[in-house]
Amino acid sequence: MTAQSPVFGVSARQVARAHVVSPRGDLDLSTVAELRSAIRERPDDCDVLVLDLRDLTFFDTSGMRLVVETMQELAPLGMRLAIVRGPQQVQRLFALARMEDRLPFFDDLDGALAAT
Amino acid sequence: MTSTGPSPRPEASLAGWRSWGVRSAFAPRPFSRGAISGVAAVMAIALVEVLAGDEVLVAALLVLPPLVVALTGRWGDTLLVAALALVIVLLSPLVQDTMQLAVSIVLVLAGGIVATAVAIARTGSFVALERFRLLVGVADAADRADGPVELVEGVLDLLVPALGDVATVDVMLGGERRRIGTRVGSGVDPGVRGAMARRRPLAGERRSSEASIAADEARLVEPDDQLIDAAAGSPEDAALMKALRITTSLIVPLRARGRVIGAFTAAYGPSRRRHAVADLRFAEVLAGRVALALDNAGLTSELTVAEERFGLVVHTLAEAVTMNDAEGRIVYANEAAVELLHAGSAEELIAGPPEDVMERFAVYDEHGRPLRLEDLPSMRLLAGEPHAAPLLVRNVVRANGEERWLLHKVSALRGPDGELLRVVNVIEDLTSVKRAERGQRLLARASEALAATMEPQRALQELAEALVPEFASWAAVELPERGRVDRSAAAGQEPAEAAAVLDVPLQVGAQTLGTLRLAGPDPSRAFGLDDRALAEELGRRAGVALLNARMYERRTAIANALQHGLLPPALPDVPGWPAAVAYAPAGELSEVGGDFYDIFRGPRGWMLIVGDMVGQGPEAATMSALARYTLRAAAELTGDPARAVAHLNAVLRGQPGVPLCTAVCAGIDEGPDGVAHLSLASAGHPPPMVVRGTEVTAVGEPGTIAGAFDAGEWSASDVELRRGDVLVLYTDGVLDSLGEHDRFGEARLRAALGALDGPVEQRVAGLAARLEAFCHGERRDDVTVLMLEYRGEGGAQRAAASRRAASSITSARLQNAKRTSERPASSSS
Repeated sequence: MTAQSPVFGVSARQVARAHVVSPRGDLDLSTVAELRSAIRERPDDCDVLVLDLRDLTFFDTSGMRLVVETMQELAPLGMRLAIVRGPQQVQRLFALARMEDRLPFFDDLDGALAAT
Repeated sequence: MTSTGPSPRPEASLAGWRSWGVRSAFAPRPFSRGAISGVAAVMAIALVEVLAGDEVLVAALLVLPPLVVALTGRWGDTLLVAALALVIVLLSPLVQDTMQLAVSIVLVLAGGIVATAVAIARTGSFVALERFRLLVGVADAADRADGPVELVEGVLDLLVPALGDVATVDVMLGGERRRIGTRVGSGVDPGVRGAMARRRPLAGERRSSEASIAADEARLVEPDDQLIDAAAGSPEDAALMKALRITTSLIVPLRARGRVIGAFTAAYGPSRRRHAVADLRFAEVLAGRVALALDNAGLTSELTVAEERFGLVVHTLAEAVTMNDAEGRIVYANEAAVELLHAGSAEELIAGPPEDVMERFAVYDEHGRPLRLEDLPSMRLLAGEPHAAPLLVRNVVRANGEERWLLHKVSALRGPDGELLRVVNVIEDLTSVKRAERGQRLLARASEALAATMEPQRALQELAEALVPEFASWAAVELPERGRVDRSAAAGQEPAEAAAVLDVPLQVGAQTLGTLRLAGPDPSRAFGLDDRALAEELGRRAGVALLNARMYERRTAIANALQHGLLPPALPDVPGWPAAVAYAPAGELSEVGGDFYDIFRGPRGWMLIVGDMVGQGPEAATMSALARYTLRAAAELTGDPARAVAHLNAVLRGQPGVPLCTAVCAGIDEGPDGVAHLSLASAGHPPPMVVRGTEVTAVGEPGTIAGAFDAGEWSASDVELRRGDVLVLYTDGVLDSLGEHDRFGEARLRAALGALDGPVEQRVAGLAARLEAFCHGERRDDVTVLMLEYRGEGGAQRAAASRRAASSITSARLQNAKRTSERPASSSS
């Protein structure tokens, strides 16, 4: 084990008209740019962005800012955001910021996709 | 050899009819005018006999003419005269006595035989003499001739008319027979010469020189019209050749050093002479001599041509070229060598021993070790080493201190037995290459030195030290400072003589910032033009670096001044509430971060705030200042933490981008009963902790993070504090601090807080120490910890004094923690 946070990575895929972005590992100030790129590099024919937070091992306010930022970006484009809930640590931070009822959270990917 | 041996020769039978006498074309014709004199003498003696009537005397006299003819004439003449004498004796009317007649016949017959034998012997010796003359002639021709062409002409002189009326010499060049000489005798149509020169090659014809060369076999042939038609280049040529009526032709391969190098042919025509087999044998012997002479002449002339070409090519070559003979003497030097070796002329170099040349220079190898003459590759070849690798030397001209870098490359010219004949030494002047290389290295080192620090003074000192001793024995930088010259940096030993110093400006555009002063690296070396150019470049770089460093210094000063305004405030004295803080921004160069805190007096009592602007760097720092003053102003005016936080949200929403901020705001309401009430509002901030003894409790209610949404839920919750309780406010940097395996987290924070005791400054320091121990790698986020102890009135004075000291200590500790924790990470990578 090194001091490095668990290797961060992002995978993105298209399911129907949804752009599904799944970050994994520690999302913090040093990795948030990578996720931001993955969110922005989406096909034109998408009307939903699904942010799948299940594989995150760490989440902080920089990730939270990206979520808020993304939501504000999508609104004028007529796109919707759907977030698959992450582990407890992630959700705890959303709770602390009282964002749980202000963001479109879903328990699993199917739910997020079905809601579209 | 045996397969191409001289016998058997079918051609020999062509001349087989000449089975007696002297069978050689060299032999003169048997008859000459001598026969007429002899016949006249015999007739005169016959007349005397008729008149005198003494037959014995007559018989004796008749013996004389054949003998005399034999001594002066040919064997045919002699035989004719002897036969006539015998006829005279037989027909003599004077002879009555049979006995006398018999004696006379015997006498004359014997005399005639002896005379004829003498004549034949004389002819034989003539042939031998003629052959000897030819052999000597070849040797003479080889001696006199300057090249193969002249030698061929000399050989043709010998062949015609001695061995033929026409003759040719062919050589094999590149596998082809080439006619290099033709000669026709005086009685031959001169047009024949051209016809012979134009002769076509005859493949498969055994009477051709091609076949003779291929078989390495001398041949005696009798060309016929068919052969001439096949060989002639044109019908006209054929007619000319046929007009020669060639009797016999010798074709003799020229063989030297075990290979056939060509052939000569010699043919009789108009003279009507014929070659004998003996002539073929002799021609082979002659051909051996001719071939040897031709081969030698060819060799020497090729060498001469090669040497001339060598001289022409090498003489004007840019590289210096010298040639030493086997004894080491210089035998050749081209113009470049004369110049490079500082000689007046090539003759001067050639006249003197190599040691004299060497003495003009101090020669070192690449590593600076002195070299002697025998270390040079040319001398090592001469000393018997089979090969000598090229050697790069530093050569300093003793006369003027000029430094050159010379690459010595040698090659040996060896004789056939491998003996060393010449050593060719090519000296390439690599000074400019080497200088450029050294220049690049020095410039790189200087740039590195200048870039090592942004402090102007230190940068210049680093430069001076980088230049000494390789480039200069002394280097100094002088800068004008308030009307006087200030020596900012120096390295090496300052020379006593100012004349030895090279001054170059520290130039940036039209601006001269100062002077770079340099003294040469050693007394035997002056700064050359290249060095000056290099020094000027160094001056320019130093100037740019100095300007940059000064600019950086000014900008840093400005940035520091601006930053200072953003720095968290010194904590005010809050009577009965000793406070301590640890604040460490994450940025490498920045002293301010996104975290903020403040303690101030509100309308209803003391208030405190701790917050964290999401993000990093100057942008977060300015926004955090905005958040801090907004929150403080709102709290100061309203005294209501919840409204203050709501106001912060409103202000941030008006900012561009997504300025997300977590914050906690608290108002203290100290009751008279030793119980204080804290009105606490949070905007997405990690929950404050209250430490009571070893018990740690998270307090407050979550509120909406500020800056995310236009609306939010912020309410103040009431927290009761008793004396001795410690309120701990912190930012997420504490929880998110990365350890070797995981984050510090709330559990560790609670455990640490529960284990700490003593005054707040001690607790802050203790928590900072635990964080330091936990942290692994570079800290990424700002860390703020603010602790406030409810002590109540009384001990306020003492607490305030110790708080100030503790605040600065803990702050410093966290900085240290960051630095030390970086080290293992960087060394392991």
